[in-house]
Amino acid sequence: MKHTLYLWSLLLVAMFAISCEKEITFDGNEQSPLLVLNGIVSPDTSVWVTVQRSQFFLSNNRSYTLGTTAKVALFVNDVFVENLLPTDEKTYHGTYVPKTGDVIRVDVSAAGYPSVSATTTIPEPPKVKYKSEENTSKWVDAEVYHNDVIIVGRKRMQTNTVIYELDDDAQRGDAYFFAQRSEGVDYEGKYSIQHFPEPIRTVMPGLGMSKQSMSMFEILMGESISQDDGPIINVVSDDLFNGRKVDTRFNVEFTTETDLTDPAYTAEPEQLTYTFCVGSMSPEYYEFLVSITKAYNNEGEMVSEPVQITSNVQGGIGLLGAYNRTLVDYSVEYMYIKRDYNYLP
Amino acid sequence: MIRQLLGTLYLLICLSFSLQAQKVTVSGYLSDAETGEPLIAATVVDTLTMKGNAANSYGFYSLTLNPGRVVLQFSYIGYQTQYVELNLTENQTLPIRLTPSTMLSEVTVTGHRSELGVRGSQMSAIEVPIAQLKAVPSLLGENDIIKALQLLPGVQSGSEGSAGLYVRGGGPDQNLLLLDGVPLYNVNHMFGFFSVFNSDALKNVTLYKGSFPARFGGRLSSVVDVSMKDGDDKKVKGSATIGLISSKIQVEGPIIKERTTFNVSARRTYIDLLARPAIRYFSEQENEGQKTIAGYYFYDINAKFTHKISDTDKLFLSLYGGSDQAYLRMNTTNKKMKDVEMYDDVNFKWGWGNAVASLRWNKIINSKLFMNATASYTGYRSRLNLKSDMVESYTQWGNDEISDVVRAESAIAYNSGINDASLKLVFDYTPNPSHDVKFGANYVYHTFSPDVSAMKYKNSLPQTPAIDTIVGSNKVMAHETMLFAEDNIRLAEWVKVNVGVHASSFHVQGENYFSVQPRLGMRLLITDNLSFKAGYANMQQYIHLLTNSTVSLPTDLWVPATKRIKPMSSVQYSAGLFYSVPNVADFSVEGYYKTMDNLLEYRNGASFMGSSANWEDKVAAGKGIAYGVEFLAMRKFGKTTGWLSYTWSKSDRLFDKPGNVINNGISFPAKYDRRHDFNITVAHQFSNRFDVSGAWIYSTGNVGTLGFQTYETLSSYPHSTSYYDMLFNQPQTHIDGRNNYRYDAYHRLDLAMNFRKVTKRGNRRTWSIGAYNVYNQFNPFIIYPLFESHYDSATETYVSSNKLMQTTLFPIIPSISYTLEF
Repeated sequence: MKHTLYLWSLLLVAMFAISCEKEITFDGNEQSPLLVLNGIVSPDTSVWVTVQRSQFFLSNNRSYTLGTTAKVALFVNDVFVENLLPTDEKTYHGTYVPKTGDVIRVDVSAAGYPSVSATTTIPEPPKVKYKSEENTSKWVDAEVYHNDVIIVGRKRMQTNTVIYELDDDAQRGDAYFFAQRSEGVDYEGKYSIQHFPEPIRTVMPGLGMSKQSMSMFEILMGESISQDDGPIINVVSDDLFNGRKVDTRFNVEFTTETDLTDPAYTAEPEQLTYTFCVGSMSPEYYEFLVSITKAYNNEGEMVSEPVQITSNVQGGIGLLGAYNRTLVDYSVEYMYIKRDYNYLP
Repeated sequence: MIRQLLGTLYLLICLSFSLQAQKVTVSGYLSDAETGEPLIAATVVDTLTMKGNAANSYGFYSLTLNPGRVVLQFSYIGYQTQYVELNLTENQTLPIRLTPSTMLSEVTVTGHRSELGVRGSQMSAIEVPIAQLKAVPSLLGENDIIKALQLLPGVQSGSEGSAGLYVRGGGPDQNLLLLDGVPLYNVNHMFGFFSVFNSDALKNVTLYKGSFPARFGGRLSSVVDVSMKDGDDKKVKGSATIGLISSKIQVEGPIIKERTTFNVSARRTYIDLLARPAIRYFSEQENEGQKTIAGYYFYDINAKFTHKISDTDKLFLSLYGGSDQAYLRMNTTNKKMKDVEMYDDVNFKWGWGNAVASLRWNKIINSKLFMNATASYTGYRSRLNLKSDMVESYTQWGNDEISDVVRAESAIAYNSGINDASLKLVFDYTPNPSHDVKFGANYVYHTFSPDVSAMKYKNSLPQTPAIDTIVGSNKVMAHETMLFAEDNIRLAEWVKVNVGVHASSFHVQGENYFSVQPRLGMRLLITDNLSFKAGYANMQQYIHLLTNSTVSLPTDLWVPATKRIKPMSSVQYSAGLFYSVPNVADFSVEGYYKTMDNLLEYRNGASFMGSSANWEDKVAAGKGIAYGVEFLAMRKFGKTTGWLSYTWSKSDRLFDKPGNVINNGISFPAKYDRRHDFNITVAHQFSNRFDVSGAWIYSTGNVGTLGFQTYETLSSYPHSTSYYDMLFNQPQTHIDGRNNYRYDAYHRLDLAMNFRKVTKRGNRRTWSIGAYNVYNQFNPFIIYPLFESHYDSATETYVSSNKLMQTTLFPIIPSISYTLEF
């Protein structure tokens, strides 16, 4: 009887496992490769773009290099300015440094490919004004390691929050990004520059989270918070604050721990300079980032709608985007815990 | 134009009503002589004037004639025609019981005036006898009326195996599926491979695809009106079936002879019971000490009780309960540590299903006025529970010594659903043979419970706080009110119109929506057997289904229209020719043109996994356009029955409004846009002991979205840093349009055979043997690219190997079942 049951079970499992997979031939016309133009232009640097080719998705050739034969023409406000020249197999550089409000157009032609063209506009730099500052620091008891044993030591926690007011233009649909750069000494005492994006959830607390709330069930089913991942962690559109003045908060946090029993440690004040960046992005740049992030999050999903990564390249593929930015310097003093390795008690 | 037409019709109606003085009316119920079942759309005709009428959904008929001697002819397909001679002097109640014919092929069907036939004004509607639907071969031998309806013209099935209906370019949530007049929100079992309708419990199915009568509203694309059997009023009888994956039983009979009847049927699958030993065996092989019980099953229970209070009053109680249940119980016990037994108990249950109850009162108020009052409840709920109880040990860093023994208990619950409480009052008024008026009102109180999750967690570590929280959307209440009136008017022998209006309002979260939806149907009789029909219908739908895919999942959610997401609406025009060859078959060819507004499509990358959070952000609203031509040849009686249908259709979507742009604002094919659909279904009864049926299905392939080009983006972007740039450093896929790739054509052949025998005790037993997809066609369910690469040591490079893959769901699947009728 038991064996009969096993047989039934196996038959049933087999029946429901008979769905099968097989390789099929593509039932359509194999499409010719297209020119791929990519570039992000800004007043920070002269115009440069990359020019490559696409590959048919079933081709086993994964080389996208076109060579240096493309003709890449730069137009500013519909006036020809210069031809961009190749510096390697895909990068073409020019000398023109864009200005705010410039309409940048790049036309590309290459033998054997349809010509392509893309246009973008250098956005206004964000209007940012210093508003206030909230600084806190305190020493607290903390568990610290001393000769591989946890003992009670001290921990200093310092937070400096600088609030800038961002004045959004009501007439435009804007998109912004936030970043900060610090210059100073790292934990090994070396001078360094660190550059990292500022997440929207900390720059605009309330705003970011309200857009990204999701149910516990989504978490349970493994659905990720797309807006909170990847390259758009520090990017936001003005959908929720169009035409308003909104606070943007830049946080600088320091945590220093010390073992009070070890006189080799001393706490010394240290000066560090930060540069806060508020950037404005062209609409096509923003839409591209949103779509590519969705595509990334959607990878391997069989049931949700596939994501079209946006492109503003007419006749081809890629993105010609633009940005502008406002930079603000901020200096801060914090307690640097220094260990004297030559110290002898 | 429509206003002028309505004005003219109003004048004609007034004129027609004024001509009815000095008339007498014969009325009553038309029913089956053996079982007492009402005969829907059976006809009564005055043989002298050839004026007649058809019985309504409850078997009630009314015919107003001049006083004097008349001979009335009562007829219905499959029944012996009955003639009754009367001397009419005053209004008269005349219940009629027709006797089923034993030789279907010899039945002479005369004067069949069903509103769906050549002589009726209703078009774009098909009534298929349940017996004929049950004869259609089916997946795993489970008779399924929804799958059978998918073989009719203008109806598409979505993906392989799906029970969804895509009618005339509409979506799966645009169908009003009524079980004894009450909507069912989820008609699927087992992810849509089976429908919730147990065919043993059913009496009649009518599908409306367009030219909707005014009494229907609330959905854009179709109405599937399913009636349950009342039950035999003379003797107890029933049937029991044992199939490959399920068994079912149906019993009906009188509680009080010819007065009170019952009809109860139940069905349950037993995949879980059969698979349990294998699951347990493999689980134990995989993990020592682990005991696993896992399974899935579904069940349905239908019950109907009918009580005849008097010749004029009847009560009906209809009940339906059905549920899908998935469960997993896993117990793992490890060895003892520090005298503490380590274990891990996981208990998971997920159930989803419908419950429907309706109490109906039919009353013949007078010979011309019939009332149907209904109070009903319908609900759909999905409920998940996950409980975990475990004791785990933690070892010290650097060695295996146990530092802590922790007991942790957690529980997660998830609920979602929709509940409707409804009151409905409908009157049938038949002042004379030229008019058949229906009017009424319906109020529905909707309670949407989009998703509520609860979580509890605690463990024995003192520093870990316990969690006990509830999150999710609050319940949303909505009030929907409908008023309607329609008149089926015979203006002349050759002209018949059905004119009506359906008005509805929807109030939700402070928002009010109101719509007036005119309906018009017209029939011009060209010859006795040939007619031209045309129809116009305006429809409005206030609720949306959030679903993630083509298969039905318990995470699908019904949500109401909101301030931001407006109700969907459609306008449909249809026209066609209908031809009947007496005693042979009915033929029709219909064309339709439908526009839809505020349709929802999911934005790029959007998915719904049971959460309604921010659902408005995940969808875009746009327009749809669908048009096509349908051909149907159907034979409902005789030894050979079946139908042949062909549909040429096109369905596109356009989402170009700011903030609602999909596919760059360019029109794209709807998900189930198919140019050709061809189906042929034939059943032949060789003898009383043996019959065969078959169905061949061919359709243009579905569309899917593929990216035909791959390319590289910049390797880093100015706003970002290297940490977040990793996704840029891989080839991307360029998709030039949504639904841009058409799959291979779909086709398959299904066959079934029934061997019947009557036992010495008079019971009939039937062996049914069948096969789905007989010639094992590998039809595409989903097509996707597979990008692979391997390292070639000879060239010391990675070599790409890119392929296009196809998944097929069902190759040939045999089935066998045994039925005993008693």
